Amino acid sequence: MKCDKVQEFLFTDYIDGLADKETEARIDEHIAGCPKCREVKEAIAATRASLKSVKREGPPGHIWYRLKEAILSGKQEERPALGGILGTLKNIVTGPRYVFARATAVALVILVLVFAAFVVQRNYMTTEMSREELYGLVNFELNGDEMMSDLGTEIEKYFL
Amino acid sequence: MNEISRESIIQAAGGDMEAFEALYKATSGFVYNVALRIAQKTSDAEEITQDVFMKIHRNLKEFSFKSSFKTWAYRITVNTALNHCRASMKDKDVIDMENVGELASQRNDLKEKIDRQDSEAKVSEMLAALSPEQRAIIILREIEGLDYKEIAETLNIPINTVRSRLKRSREELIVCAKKGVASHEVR
Ligand SMILES: [Zn+2]
Repeated sequence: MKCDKVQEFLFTDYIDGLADKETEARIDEHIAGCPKCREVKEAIAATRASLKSVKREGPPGHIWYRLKEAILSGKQEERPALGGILGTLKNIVTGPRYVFARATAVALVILVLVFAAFVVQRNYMTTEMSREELYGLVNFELNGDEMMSDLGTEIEKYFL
Repeated sequence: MNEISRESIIQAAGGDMEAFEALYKATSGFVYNVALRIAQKTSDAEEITQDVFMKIHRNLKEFSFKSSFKTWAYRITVNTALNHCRASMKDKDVIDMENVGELASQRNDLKEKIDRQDSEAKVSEMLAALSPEQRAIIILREIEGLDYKEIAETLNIPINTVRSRLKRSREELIVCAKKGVASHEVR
């Protein structure tokens, strides 16, 4: 085996214990008679030893408290679906994020309410359905907005 | 680091703050260390650590258990730290154009190096000679002890690329640690 081939192994599989026994033996044999490659092997081992010797410290304690605070304060404006339908409606009326969704949703709510009021005079069952439809539509509208602003950014980076 | 249980991840993803704290306690050590070694400054490492856990918290629901939680967390950490380095390198470039940035930042780094112990300073100096990407792979292999497959998954590169990057980075390290020994004679 020539020096450059030996060193190719030295820098990777040999030093990481991945070379098979036969290759390892041939490299050892070469190193025994080649001061240049021996020096390379020792240099790799030395840098590796100093890298392994460093102390691993944990993060300072205040990071957790800062993180917890950031998470808890962020939670209040997160995911209107979690807060139930009342929270959702409140968000539409008062939330700053849904400028465009607000007008559409309010119009939608009025429309469906008028429709529901019209139907309720005739049939109780239909009213129940309309109510479901109302919630469903409002939720759909908001989920669409959520999707536009929150998904497809952070997650992709880590999975692509 | 011990592998985190599936239940505790699901609990934390469901908003259980105690479960998330346990997750933080189990993983913040390596997150902080990898961040510190890549970014090379404690203030940057703190910022990166917080950023990483905000991302973990936000995306925990999407975690699909396809890779191990450990690999996932390493990946977020390395990506966040590298992005951080790229951003601060851009800032540096701006100052460098006036030819003062390099010296000023070296002086700041030096103060921090003196505060640490000897072997610490040596390691910091060695790692500083590498590019952030080379630092990342050396840290994962030599300090965190990941194998080639785990590194490949973390950095999202083929195993042969892991091998060639490791070789290149180790060559650089040797050039820096013992000037003139290896790399000129290697080729
Ligand atoms: Zn040789």
